[in-house]
Amino acid sequence: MYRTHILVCGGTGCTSNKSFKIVEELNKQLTERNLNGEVKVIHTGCFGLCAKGPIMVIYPEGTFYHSVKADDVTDIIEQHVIAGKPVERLLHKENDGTVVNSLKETEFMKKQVRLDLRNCGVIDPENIEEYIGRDGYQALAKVLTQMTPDDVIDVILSSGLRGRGGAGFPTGLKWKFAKGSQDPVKYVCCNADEGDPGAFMDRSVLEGDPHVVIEAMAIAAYAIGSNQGYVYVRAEYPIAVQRLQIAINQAKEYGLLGKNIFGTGFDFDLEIRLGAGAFVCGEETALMTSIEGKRGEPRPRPPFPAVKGLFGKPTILNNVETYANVPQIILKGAEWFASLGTEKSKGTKVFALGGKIVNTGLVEVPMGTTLRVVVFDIGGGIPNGKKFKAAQTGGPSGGCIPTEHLDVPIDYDNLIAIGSMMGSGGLIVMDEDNCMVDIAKFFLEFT
Amino acid sequence: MEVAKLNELRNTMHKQFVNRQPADENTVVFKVGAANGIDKAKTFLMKMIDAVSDLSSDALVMADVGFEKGVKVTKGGKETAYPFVTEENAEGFVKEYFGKEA
Repeated sequence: MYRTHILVCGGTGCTSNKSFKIVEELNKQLTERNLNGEVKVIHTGCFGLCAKGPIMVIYPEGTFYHSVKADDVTDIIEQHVIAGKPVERLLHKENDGTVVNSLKETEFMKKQVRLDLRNCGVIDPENIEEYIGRDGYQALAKVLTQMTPDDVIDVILSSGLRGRGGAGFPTGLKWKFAKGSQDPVKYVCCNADEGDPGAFMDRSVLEGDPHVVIEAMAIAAYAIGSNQGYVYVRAEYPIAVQRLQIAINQAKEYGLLGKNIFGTGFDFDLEIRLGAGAFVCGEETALMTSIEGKRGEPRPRPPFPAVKGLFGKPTILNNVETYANVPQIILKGAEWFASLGTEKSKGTKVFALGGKIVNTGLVEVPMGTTLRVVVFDIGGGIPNGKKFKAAQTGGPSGGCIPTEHLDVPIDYDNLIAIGSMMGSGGLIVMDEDNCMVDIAKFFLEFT
Repeated sequence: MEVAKLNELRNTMHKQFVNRQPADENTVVFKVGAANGIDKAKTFLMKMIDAVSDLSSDALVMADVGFEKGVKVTKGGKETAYPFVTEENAEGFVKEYFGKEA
């Protein structure tokens, strides 16, 4: 047991800001001072407040330090760890100058509900035992020992979970279609291509909590009758790929992937396939064609992948964030999940806030939260006193939401009604200086 | 891995997170007096952490340099001081505290 836990963000943003050097210096100094037996340093996933990185949180106090550098480590250890007093200059200040000690108490975090991101910033993503310590693989154990495949599909259907990749198709229905196919060979795929500009939700889940995707894919495989899965990750995400591969290796080592999982006779194996920079491979049939080793080109549908997908076999493809919801739905129940969100859009949604906004980063809010809350309360508003002009959602297929729709509750149907779409979660904010003609031109050129 | 082994590992590892989570209104926060230095209070602190992690998954144990002796416990915004808790009776105090709560 440790008296103090120092969590340092190891997401891509903070890593590019050399957060790994902070970890190195912490470990070095703690060893030199003989404190490494009572103070634990954890290199975690994304806390979300990327604009203020590198981020450090120290428990049990929950003290939140921002913009930390390796040079700050001496003060942190001497003042905080040894003397028990926070390092004031590293504490977060809100827009009005209020000092906030705890990340949880920041305006950025207060209105968030982190379900998909529950382990990001809490566990070491390269340690399967930490995932297990937070109820990891309990859902898979429950599914394999207490539930039939139809039970699993019923729970997912009843939860109201809809695909988080953009289309919002009911996840349980997709699995039901695939289960209904009679072919003995079926596949489970995960779309981690994440090509929409500004989107990094899936990257953060894979970097911060890769086992949740593995566990969920195993659950999906059991539900539809599959024994093989593939995670298609864009090659531009090296940290995510590395952590996912470590997680897969550990899951195999612990018998949570492979043959006869939990002694139930259920086999499931998982492999990574890397993308090669093609936006089109975020589309499900092009993705599958790419996994098959061919040029990533979409195929006409029907037949739909649930009938004839990867290698011509029944296949389900779900987004990373969709999968991230599954274990908790199994453990806490469909009603729990359905109690969050709106009538037709249950649960939460992760958004990657970018563009002209104070708090760029990753946020997770219940469906039905308004754009005004996301942009102004959580996002901190527009920098430099500029006026909000629009927020782009839905990637290149989406649209720009102007001021008059700031109070529309965000869900799948409302966004379509106002001329945009949910998409995967990229939310790019624009101010009075942005030219909408240039924005339109950018997206036309992108596609 | 068998399910029983998974559960055993889960219970062991779960204790690590007793002191690695944000507090909310349900969290019991134990503060150990450390005005004479955290290093001097270390053994007391670790005994409290060990005892609490065995009995609760929604608690925090931390050193507090603002006072010297005993323990202060906060729950739901209400703080209660227990000045006579020491390193020697820490385990018994924690058991009694959670016994009373139950």
